Amino acid sequence: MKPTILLYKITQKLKKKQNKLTTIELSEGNYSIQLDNNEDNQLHIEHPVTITGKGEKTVVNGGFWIKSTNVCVKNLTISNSTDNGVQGFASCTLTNINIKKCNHSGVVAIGNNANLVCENIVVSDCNLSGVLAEKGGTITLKGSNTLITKNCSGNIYSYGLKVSDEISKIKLKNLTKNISKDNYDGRNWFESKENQIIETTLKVSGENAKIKLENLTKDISKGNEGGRNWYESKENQIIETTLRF
Amino acid sequence: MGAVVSATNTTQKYKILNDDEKKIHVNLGGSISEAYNSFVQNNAKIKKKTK
Repeated sequence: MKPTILLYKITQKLKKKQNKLTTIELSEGNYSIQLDNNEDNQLHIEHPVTITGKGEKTVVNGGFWIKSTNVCVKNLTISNSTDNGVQGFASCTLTNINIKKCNHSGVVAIGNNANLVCENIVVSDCNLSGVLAEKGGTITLKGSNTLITKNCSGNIYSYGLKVSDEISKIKLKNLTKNISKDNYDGRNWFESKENQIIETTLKVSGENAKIKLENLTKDISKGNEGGRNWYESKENQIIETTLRF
Repeated sequence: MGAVVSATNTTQKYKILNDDEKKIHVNLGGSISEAYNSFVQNNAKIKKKTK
């Protein structure tokens, strides 16, 4: 095949790929997810997609099972799921989401491939745990509007933040465990062993902030709980100035 | 040229916007499940064409 024809074909392919849909956008209002054969109102997401609403007034009655990577859900309320609000089996992000009144837990990460990054989520009034990591799952919570409250009335094994086995984690970026409060019977957090709910307490908060270390290195911060000696929101915010005149 | 084929359903509750937008917009009363299925089918169609 001539190089010019090959180039033309590649360009056409790229053009078509760029035409793939990326987003499902919901207006303000209430939306229901139809009950499946198991009487669950869960949407099973098996392809990369962004689902976005117009803020908390976009209300989805049902939950999301996320089985694909590159899934992003943002700017909406998830309510009245017959199961969990969001159940993640892969890497995905949740941003500006209210999750409430779910029959089971609010947000669940299941399995080694589950890495859920949640920014500014509020989980409330769910029957079981607010945020639950299990079977190797990891959940990162960040954002000053994060709140986990009034959950766990369904059974005594549920907690606001729960890491249910030794191989799972909940990471709190620029947050403390106190984001989980007023859950039923004071069950605000649970770890199977120490330091599974990881608070990053020494940090540069915000992308425009800096800590400058003159003639020092980051090693001045040591021996902190859980080895959490420094944190940056992005690279090179803690600046080591080691050579000076 | 709009490479995304229109898949507006009979109830007009959701629509696929032009290819600049690359999104399905669901109006109030629309079905998320239908929109998601349409989303998947549409992208599968594009994938098939590019093979």
